[in-house]
Amino acid sequence: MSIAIPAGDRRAPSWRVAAVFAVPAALGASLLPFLSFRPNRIVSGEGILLWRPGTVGAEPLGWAALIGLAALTLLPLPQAARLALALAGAALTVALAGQGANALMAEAPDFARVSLGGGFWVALAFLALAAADAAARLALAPLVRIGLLAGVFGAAALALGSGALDRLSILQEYDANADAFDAAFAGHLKLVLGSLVPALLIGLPLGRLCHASPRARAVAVPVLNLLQTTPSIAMFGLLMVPLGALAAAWPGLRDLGVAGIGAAPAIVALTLYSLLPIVANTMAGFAAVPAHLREAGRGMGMGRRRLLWQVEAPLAAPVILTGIRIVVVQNIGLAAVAALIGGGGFGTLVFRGMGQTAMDLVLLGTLPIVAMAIAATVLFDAAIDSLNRGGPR
Amino acid sequence: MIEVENLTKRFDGVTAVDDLSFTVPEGEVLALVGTSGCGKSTTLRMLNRLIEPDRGRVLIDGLDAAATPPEKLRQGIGYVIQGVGLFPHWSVAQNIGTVPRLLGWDRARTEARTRELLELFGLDPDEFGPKPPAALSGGQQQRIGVARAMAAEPAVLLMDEPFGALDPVTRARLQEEFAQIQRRRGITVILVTHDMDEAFRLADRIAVMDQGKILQVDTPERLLRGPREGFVRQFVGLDDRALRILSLHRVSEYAHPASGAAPVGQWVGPGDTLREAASRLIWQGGDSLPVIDGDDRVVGEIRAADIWRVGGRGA
Repeated sequence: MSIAIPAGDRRAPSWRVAAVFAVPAALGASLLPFLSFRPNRIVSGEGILLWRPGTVGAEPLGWAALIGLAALTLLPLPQAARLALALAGAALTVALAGQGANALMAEAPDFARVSLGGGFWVALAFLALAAADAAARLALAPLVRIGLLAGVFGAAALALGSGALDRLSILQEYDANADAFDAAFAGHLKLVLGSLVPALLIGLPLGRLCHASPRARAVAVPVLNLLQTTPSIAMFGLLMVPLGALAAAWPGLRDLGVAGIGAAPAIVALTLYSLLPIVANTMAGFAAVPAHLREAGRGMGMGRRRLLWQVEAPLAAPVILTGIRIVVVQNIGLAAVAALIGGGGFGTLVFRGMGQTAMDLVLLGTLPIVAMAIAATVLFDAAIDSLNRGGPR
Repeated sequence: MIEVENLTKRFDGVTAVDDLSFTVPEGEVLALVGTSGCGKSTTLRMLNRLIEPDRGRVLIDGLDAAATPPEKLRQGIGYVIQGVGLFPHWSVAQNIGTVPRLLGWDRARTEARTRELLELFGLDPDEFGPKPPAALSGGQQQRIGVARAMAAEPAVLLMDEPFGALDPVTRARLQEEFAQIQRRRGITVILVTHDMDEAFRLADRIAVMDQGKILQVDTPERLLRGPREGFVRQFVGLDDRALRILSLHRVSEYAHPASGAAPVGQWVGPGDTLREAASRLIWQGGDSLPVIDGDDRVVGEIRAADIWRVGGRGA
């Protein structure tokens, strides 16, 4: 999660800064329904306030603990303590939801549903933001950040696998759609990676060429700009015709997966969207290599290729990697739209859920996209950071 | 040995280097001096073919530079660029090992050479070798820049403003260090600088350039005593020429045998220049100063009359 915070500010922020996260989290958990109980899947639900005593599914003690954790973050504590408090609060929020669902479902028929309410989401979101804020201010080493990410994902996996959350409607929805979920996950990865590889193969050399030749730049950059501003639905539509024609003309291509609809146009579209950030950052990366370092390399007898791989490419790498990060995070989001033309991915679940007005199914498609985007951001930022730390300039 | 014959380079119709010819014998330091844009850097860069000359040729130890592939030529010539130019993503040791790696030296030999050079420049190899260049002071970085150029033991070193951007004290110390290393190793050096003091301190001969031509090449002392009319006279600066001449001579060259008495007040060492001796003598007053060696013993005396004679017109 990239938040514009001066990295390395280890001092505790004033209570006002901490309050930006703690107050909404506490208000959300108190004023908004934490869970929503529906006697069956279709009818609208009945909100459960977390703090109200005597209501099934409410947890007054848990609520008090949650408010207490949020309040503690206001104290002038070290950032590591704030990080731990925020993570503990987020874990508690999830545990309370699971516990509440178990209590509600114990007395209800099997087709009843307990879904997560606004209070849960607001509390979880602001506690996660508080954790991200504290982590950013700690300026943790890249490997520690990756470890922290793995820890959070591991804890989430343990919680999901333990069965404690099984009575929540979103997990019941997962149970009913496990195969579709797995297929969507595989499809999403295929779309993101399948577009990244060709985008790199084209974008990196093209960026290098545009850096070296103003002529190439004058042609390529306006075209890529135009591509970038084309809306995604229009892009899919525009690609359907030529790809469909290709497949019709050469049936052999169809066996390779080329078609007017499906994954092929989606991958082509995502590739095209990836080109501008990659080309632009490659150009910027090479342009930022100081001329006197090129001169030094040449003067010591490096040939063009050696100069490129040993001096220019490593020095340009952090900026290029930033471009790749932009592309990966962007495509993780954009790939959801691919479902509209049968391209697969988590968009399939989202659009199916919308069609059935089943919000839980929509969430089942959306949450993994958010998780993937966060994971990609943390991993790439750590990689970029370790490159920058390896070569201070 | 470097021989330059009729070297010429034009950029967009403007002649940057105009029919230049000079020779640098083995082990000599030649300084190319002049104002910015006089063609001195262009000349230097034509020697290792970073710029290809329009006309003329460069012979290095009798071999035509144009006949060697440029990469190979440059691997054989040490090059210290303006602004140091250490690679920030490599450690100090990796930077020094750049050319040996290009030449395909094995790891052990490169490492041994790197350690030797770091020690030569007074830096502890274990401490400084693994550091990134950014962790070093300006003076240390300049040392590494020179060490890197010397890594593959080139017979010829080209230096473009090698000690620029340093404070005067650090610069003087580095110049002194480099002069000692250069003399000991017998390296042939062509040094580009706009700093006359640097040229006087390091060079065996100085070539004054203006508008792409060498106006005068001479030893520092002859240049000071007999500068040509016009630009050379103006550039060399005649106001303090007596002091500059004195700074070219050492006390040890003119000291007389000791006359006994232990020193009170000012004294000089045998390695000090006559300029320093003159300054202390003026401060102290009197006709002579004791010369004291590193063991605090009086080894001789230096006389005012000798100093005045060396710095005078008649010498």
